[in-house]
Amino acid sequence: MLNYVKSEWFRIARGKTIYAMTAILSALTVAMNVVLFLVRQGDINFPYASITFSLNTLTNSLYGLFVMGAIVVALLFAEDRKNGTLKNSIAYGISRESIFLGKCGISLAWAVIIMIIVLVFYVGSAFLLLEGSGAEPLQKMLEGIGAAMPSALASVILAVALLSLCNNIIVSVVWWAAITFIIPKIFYQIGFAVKLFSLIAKWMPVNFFNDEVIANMDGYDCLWNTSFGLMKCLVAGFGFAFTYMVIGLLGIRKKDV
Amino acid sequence: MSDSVIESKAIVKNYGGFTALNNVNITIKRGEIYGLVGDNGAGKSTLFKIIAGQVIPNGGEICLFGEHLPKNLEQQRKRTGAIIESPGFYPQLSVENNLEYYRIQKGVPGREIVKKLLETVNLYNSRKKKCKELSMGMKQRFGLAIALLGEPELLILDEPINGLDPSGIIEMRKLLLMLNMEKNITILLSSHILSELEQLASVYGFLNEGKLLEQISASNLRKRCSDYIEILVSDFERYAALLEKKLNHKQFQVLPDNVIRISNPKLEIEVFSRLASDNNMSISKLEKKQMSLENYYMTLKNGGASSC
Repeated sequence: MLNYVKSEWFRIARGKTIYAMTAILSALTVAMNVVLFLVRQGDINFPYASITFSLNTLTNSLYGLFVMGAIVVALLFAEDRKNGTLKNSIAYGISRESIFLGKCGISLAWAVIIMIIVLVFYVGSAFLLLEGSGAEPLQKMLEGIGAAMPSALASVILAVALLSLCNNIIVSVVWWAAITFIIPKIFYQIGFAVKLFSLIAKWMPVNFFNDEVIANMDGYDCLWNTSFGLMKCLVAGFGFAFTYMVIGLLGIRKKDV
Repeated sequence: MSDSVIESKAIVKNYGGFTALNNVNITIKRGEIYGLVGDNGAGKSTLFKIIAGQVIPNGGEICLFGEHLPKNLEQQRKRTGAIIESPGFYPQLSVENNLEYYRIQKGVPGREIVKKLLETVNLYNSRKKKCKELSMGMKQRFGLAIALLGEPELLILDEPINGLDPSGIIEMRKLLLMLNMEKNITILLSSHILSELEQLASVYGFLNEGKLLEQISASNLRKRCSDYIEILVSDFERYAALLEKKLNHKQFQVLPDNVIRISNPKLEIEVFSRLASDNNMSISKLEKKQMSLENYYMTLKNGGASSC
């Protein structure tokens, strides 16, 4: 597996895609802060040109990390089947399991690298351009990222599993969106009528990061600040990650490439 | 050490209701060049993919270098190189970087092997080109370079001369023969150009509609398809009787157009012509022929191999 990981690292580092994605995401976050800064220049009473508002945007939408993780997987591996490189790797004796686990590891590593770079630009530009004290919002944002990491890992593993199991990228994307967002929302809605669904929905990451995180100009009420809330983030995240990994590993064993 | 490099035992592969391979048994020994012959859809690529581990069979077993357990098979596949259907590579990466990618993946030591292989397949001058810019023939040669990484003991090549120009075909043939003779690399290959296969293979397997019709060595095939005579006489029934009675030759068949095909003729052609003239039969056609691989395959496919 190590050779596979090394070869993929070599390939990805020599491609342009991952750098382009990092540049675009960094530029978007900086642009957001620049817009807030410019509006403030025109309107002295504009209340949102603060570090708190800027960083809370991410704290309030941590499920965005799930999407980013899946996009990284798609950018790195969506063409494997089409290019015929996957069949070469298998023909050279690399097991399907090693390829699957290698892809998960590489995707996670690159996703973390990209996230760190983007965060540097995001937080850096906020501190440079915007007003207010940034200590608390930065702390809450970093705590939130830490709490969301297991669920982001699950999202990455799900994306790798679906790309490995589905023959078509569009089908993979549809399944990923359904499992990550649509099914939790359906459970959430049915939960208003059926209590069991409500209980299950509360343990679905997209639901609890949406419902149980409040970060605004007045203060914070984040689920990871209680031990039960933090436990929920970790158990649900790692639980889904483990489940997707088992499904992926079992599924690819019998998968023709 | 096992003498068999590949052994497939009762391999079955179904795609939905379609049976791509039905109880296929082949044996390929070390040092052989095994030519797999079959029409499109006969199951050649499916068999290649099963051997390469890309497709999982529904039944049967593959042994590579004497090993059949899944984990051991993966280890043995490290001793193989393969191009199946089309060579796989990253189109945006350069030729050199694509080969380096596979070198790292296969754990082959030394970067200089990349240069050496590109020189072997005549692509060194194109090493900086992106793979998507290569012509069909160049891609095919590049696929061979990938397959040759790590000095494989077995090459699995599905249509390796596909897309090559005439000089490319000759180069590829020379290269494969050189690899087989000098490095004792076992080669399993298929080609639609049977005349080309005839110049390479030491053993043939004939596959039709998912079934292996026959596996035969090139030397036995040559014997079986040795010279034959076709003669058309005014009274074919009497001539057939005379063949048996006077010349004691029983290896013949009467073709639908009343032509008599005399297989394995040990006597000179004049003897067969005299047999007709001495018995007052006129001869409209008399030819000495040799059956090609193509003819043999067609005869076999239509259910009459042993007759030739």
